[in-house]
Amino acid sequence: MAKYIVKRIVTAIPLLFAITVLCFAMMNLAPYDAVDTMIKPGMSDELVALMRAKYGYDQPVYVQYIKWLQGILCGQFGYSIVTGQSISLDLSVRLVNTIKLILPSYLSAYVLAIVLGLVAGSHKNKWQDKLIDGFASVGISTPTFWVSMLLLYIFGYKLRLLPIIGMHTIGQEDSIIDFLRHFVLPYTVLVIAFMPDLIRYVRSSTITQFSEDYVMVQKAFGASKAEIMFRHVCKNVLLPVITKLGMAMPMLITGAIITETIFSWPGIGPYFTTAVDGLDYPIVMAILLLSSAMVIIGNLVADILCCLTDPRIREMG
Amino acid sequence: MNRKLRMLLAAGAVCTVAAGFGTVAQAEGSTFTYAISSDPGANTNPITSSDRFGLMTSNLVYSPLFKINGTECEWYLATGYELSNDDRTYTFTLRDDVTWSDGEQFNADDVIFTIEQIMDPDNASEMYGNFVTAEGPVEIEKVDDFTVSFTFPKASPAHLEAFAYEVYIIPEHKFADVEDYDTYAFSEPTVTTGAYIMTEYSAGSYLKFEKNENYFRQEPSIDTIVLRIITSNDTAMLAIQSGEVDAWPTTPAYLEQIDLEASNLTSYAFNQGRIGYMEVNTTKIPDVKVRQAIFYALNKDELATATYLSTDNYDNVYTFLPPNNGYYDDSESEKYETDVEKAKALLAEAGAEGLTVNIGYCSSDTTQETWAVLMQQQLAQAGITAELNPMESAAYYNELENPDKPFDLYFGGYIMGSDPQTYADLFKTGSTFNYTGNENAEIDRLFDEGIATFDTEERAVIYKELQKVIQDDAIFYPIASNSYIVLFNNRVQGIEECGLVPIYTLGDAAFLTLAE
Amino acid sequence: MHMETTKNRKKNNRQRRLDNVLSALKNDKMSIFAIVWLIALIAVSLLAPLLPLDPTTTNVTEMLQGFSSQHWFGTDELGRDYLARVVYGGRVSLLVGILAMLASASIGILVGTIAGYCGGIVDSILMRLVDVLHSIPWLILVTVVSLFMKRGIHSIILVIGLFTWMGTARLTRAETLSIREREYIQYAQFMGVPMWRVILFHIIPSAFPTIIIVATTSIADAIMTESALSFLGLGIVQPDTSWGSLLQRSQTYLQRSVHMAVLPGILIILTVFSFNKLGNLLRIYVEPRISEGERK
Repeated sequence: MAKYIVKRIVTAIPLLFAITVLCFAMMNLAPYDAVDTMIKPGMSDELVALMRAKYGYDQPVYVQYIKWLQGILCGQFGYSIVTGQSISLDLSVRLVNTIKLILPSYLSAYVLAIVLGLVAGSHKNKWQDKLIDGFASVGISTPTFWVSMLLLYIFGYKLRLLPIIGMHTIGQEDSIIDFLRHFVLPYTVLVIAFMPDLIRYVRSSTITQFSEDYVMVQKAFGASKAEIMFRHVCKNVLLPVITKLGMAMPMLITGAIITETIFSWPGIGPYFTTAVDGLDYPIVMAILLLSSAMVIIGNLVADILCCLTDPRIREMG
Repeated sequence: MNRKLRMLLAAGAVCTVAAGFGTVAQAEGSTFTYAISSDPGANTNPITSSDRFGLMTSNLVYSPLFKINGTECEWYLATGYELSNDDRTYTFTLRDDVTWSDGEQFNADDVIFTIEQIMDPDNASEMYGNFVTAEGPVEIEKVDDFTVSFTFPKASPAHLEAFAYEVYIIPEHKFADVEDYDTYAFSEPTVTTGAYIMTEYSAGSYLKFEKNENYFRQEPSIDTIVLRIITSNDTAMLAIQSGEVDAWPTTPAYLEQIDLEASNLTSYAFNQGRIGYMEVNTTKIPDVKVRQAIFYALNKDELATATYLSTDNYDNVYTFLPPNNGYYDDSESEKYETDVEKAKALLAEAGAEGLTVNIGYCSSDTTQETWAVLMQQQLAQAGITAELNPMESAAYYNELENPDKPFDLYFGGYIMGSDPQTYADLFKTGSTFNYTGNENAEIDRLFDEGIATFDTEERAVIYKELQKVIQDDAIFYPIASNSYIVLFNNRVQGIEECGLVPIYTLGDAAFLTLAE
Repeated sequence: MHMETTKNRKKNNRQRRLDNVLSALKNDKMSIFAIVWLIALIAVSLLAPLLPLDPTTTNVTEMLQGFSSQHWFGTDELGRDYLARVVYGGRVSLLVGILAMLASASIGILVGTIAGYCGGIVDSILMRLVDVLHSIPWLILVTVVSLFMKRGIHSIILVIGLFTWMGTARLTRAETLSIREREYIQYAQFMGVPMWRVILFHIIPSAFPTIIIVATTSIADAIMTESALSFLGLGIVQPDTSWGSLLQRSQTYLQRSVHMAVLPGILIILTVFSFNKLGNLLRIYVEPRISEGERK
């Protein structure tokens, strides 16, 4: 088992490497760079050349890449070209903010989806199923930014119930209630965004299980629906669903970029979009590295969970 | 287990909603919150900051030697200046009664230190070129603790403005050890001579300022100022109406939708010396008749109304200088009043019927996009087919410098200094920033003549001629000089005394008060 | 005795599938609605040039008006008729959806079949490529790439096509792996039929049912993706428009003209929903042993 994990991690490293090379190449393919976004009329050519040299742009591309790589291996994420801030510092703050938003939303969506999916699947084609499946189908078809804007408008302005900017009212950073009031709207949007897909997954898994032979056998033995549900179907449905948790790990970083921007939530989302607009490649590369690593780790975790929970796979080795 | 979890969640949801009922929280104490649309960063300092909100911070926290209002000097850290006989040396006398917020005396060493930092090529400061001119660097001499003189290699009336243009004096005793201004991150309250001290920076959220009780002009009335970062305009619009922020710079499109009375707001529009314009790429359209034809086909009023809605929000402008500039004079310039027949006639004369043009614009700029779409329609009436070519912001502004750019027509907007010389780089032959690619020896000559004399009347004549010549060449089509509009909550008073100025917006925040 | 001929068996098969579909339709009114909606949408989009709609003429004196008899859906920020904008926007959204799907499906099928058929090194390399692209969060990939692409319909279709083929590839590869083992394929290989012929004329037709289902949901995804991209400002060039870019423009005027935001949003929901439902129905038709809602 441990050998398997080690092997996966080892094969993942060249993958990460390839990803960073790809992204770095793409950012450098653009015919202009971060310095170009900072130039204004009135700046002499001499000044522009100075600025370029300052950020290492006068060096060939691969040299720039190697320098960046060296920095990363030492744990240095470097400094933003546009604002000069330390990226690790910024990330440590913003990542925490993003996780504060996404973790509760995803977990809530997850739990709700399991419940609703099970209900829908076990009452196939009855009104519960139609309602829940209908909701899920419509949910998948709805753009999240649209929902965000409407919620913001209704609750933030028309009804004036909730604040609409950021994470805290200034001066009340310690207040949990204040945080919750800022948290409710983006949280709701994200739950609505994450749920439908999960619901459908759980639902179809449930339906499949209910049509399996062992259910028929149980019915023949006179087991009640509730018993079948909780003793047998649940387990079989939940097993693959748990692996979904692993696959969702990269969401912790990039799952809410648009929502965060709309609600001015100080997380990774706005940080990333500003960086891309300004061609601030150290920031883009850092976020890319983190999220790709999360994808790989997430896949690994999903596989491990699969192994642990399904004895058949474990036996196969 | 699932059921228990569900009930817990439901209970939690009910509690949250219950707590949410009630009015939106207002910050305690005397606090003025101003919404800004981008994060200036923690390293905002007067040497390297060049973004609007970084400069706004510099203006709140530090002081310049003086500011230029129209043609008058408003004195801050300096009390006056003398110009030498050869017009090359400026000697400034400084105030001797100013202390930094940590108690140290302000003196000439700080001024010299600041200018030296600007002249240091490693800092890549935007003002570098103002003190290290094409003819050589400025020579600095400390006459005594409160007198400094600066000698330029070549005399020019435009040099005076260099000292007022984004030059904020920083304390030598604090910054002497700083190696790299770009990575110098905010970590403790700033040492200032300005009205406010920067006390807190929360990345992506806000900057907080506390009043400087020893401010040499007047003790500020408001205790705390917060610059709140709200990147989304739509969110900001809701915030100003709900009272979460007290002030917000906005555009006519948003202004129109707000019921000012109901939300207790007042809108202040002031001319910021900006011109939104369209320029012609002369490399692709070398025939002046064709260019003039294009100008005659356009309808300036329609363009301005569509984007700025009413003349409350903009001023008409007909030359390369904004209407609030001391040397603005359009009496001899061709105004290109809409005349579709004349346009067609000119095209026929030039043998250019059925002309197609490529209009470039910045895709994220809705004003430019609106102009492009409208122009496409206006040009069609004269038989000119226009193809729209949007580009993403960084790509677009980079492309403008390319002499082989694909655009025939393109958009821009600028705010330059008070002296017309600051516009020279945009129109002189061969300059990097002359995006039109135009080569007109007369324009070059007139710009040079303009700085050869210090006499304002002589200069006025020269610049009147210059404005006419540029318009005759039909390379620059000014669309409107749009005002900067800021919405203030009615509880904010003293705005007139504070003054609303271009770029920094709040002239001197010490004069603002809050009615409770 | 009644011998069941192949022809009869096929006919019975098809009959059974149709019955399944019809019963699914009866049970689920939404499916009927979905089909009707799609037919109506495609019809209007195709006939749009014949209808008296003018989406590009601006009118500065009539900006941002509400519903009226002259403008059923009101006007937008430049005084253009909103009904016309929405209809032409639908054309573009639909076009982008279908073309992007075709692009993505082509790449996906190509990569998937080759990987599944060849196996070995080729398979490994191709699947590694899929992994790499799949590991980079999609939004990041798209934002970075769109930096240096010229704005417009072609770019959007290309971008969506280039970055959404991975799922199709994986599925096609799985199908290919199982089809490859069939006897007639092995005979063909034995006879020396070139690879491209086998893939083109045998494997792809066998995998067709799966492909069709993926394609239908791909259209739905492409439409959603296009609206997200337009919202981020990477979308269609004026004066053309799509539902996504209409939504993006409408944000600024939300307070005054809510209808500008609500209408395209609802249309997107209806269309994406309908395509997904269509995909479901096709799945029922194609896999008769699996009743509606089950996963394979």
